[in-house]
Amino acid sequence: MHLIKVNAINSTNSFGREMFRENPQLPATCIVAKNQLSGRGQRGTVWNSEPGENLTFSIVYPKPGISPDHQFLLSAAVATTIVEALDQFELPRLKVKWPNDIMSANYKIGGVLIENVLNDGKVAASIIGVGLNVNQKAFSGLPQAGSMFSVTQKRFDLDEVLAVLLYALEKELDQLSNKRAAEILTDYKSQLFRIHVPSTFELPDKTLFTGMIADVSLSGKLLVRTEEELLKEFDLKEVRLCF
Amino acid sequence: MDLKEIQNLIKFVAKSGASEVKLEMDDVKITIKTGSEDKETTIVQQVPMGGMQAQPQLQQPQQQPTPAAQPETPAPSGEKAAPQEDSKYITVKSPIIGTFYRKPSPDKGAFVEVGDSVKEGDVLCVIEAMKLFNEIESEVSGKIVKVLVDDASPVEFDQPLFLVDPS
Repeated sequence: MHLIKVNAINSTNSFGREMFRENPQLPATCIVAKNQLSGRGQRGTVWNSEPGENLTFSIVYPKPGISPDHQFLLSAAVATTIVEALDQFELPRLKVKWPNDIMSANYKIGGVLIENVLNDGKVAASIIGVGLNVNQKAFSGLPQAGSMFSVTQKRFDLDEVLAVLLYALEKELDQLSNKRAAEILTDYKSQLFRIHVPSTFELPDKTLFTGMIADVSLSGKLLVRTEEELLKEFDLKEVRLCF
Repeated sequence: MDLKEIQNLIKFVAKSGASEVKLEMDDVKITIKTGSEDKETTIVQQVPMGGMQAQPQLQQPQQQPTPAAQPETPAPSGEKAAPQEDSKYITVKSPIIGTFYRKPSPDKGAFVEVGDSVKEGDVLCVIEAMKLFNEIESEVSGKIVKVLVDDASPVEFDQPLFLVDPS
């Protein structure tokens, strides 16, 4: 995979998108920024990261082996791969929080933002943005955020962590089209935060209810078994897992 | 037969390439006509342009149970004005289920407005599903005639999003 290192940039995803626009023949490329000035999270939210302390990178991957209606599998595979790769750094209780947050010791230490370019009903390219908090010590105003440092009290070499992640992600992306959906989902669920344990969920109207994550569907919806033994299906905007 | 089944049936007929299908069963009779010339998929929620006839047409008078689907070979659409007027334009449809966004982010302007000229490969909108963001590129060059869906509203698979005048 090609690697482009930049000092300061607005958003590695936006930069990657621009590179693909200028060159639709672009091979798989990773853009890593020492300082991401206006990183993006979910629509309308931001991803803040202290310069030089964390990893913020995007992989532009042309023609990933998925169809537009199976794209949750890409998201699931990327999050699962990151968690499995980070395991070698001996982080406590590494999990994926639905749909694709990276958790360690109940703190969110990373996030994934995937943007696909769709043309003629096919995924022309995926731009996979990853933000991983590595050595940042404090997260003011974000009680649920953490870093690899905050959960281990150890500092990590950014280049080494990046190399481990890129190796694992490239391998996974290259073989994605050969994997069966069930296999990807099974791996994902084996790493899922709070699956099969009683949890509290919040609905958009702020009411809380108790239930257990029972499953995740092919399209990425969360299936929750309620106290009344009902199986309810939720889209991302329809429920929030409290932790 | 509920609305969902009817929608599925319409999608099926549209994909089959048939120009007209009549279906009669129990107390339901349905006629689905599609614009055969441009192979457009038309679905119930579509808001057509002023003066255009809503198609497909759904009729539900009582009828004896005699199931019969009659796919016909695509016929020239000379008998109706609507498909002809429609065929000038290319409909950009949603490739996935999700939420339709006209802007790259809430504080930015729309990707395209009615009257804008677009080239092949230009981004028309973003459709978000489960935190995955999909930029939808135009497959044609032309002028945006109509935006068929409101910003931040849910869209179905194959739902028409834009009308583009390729001329």
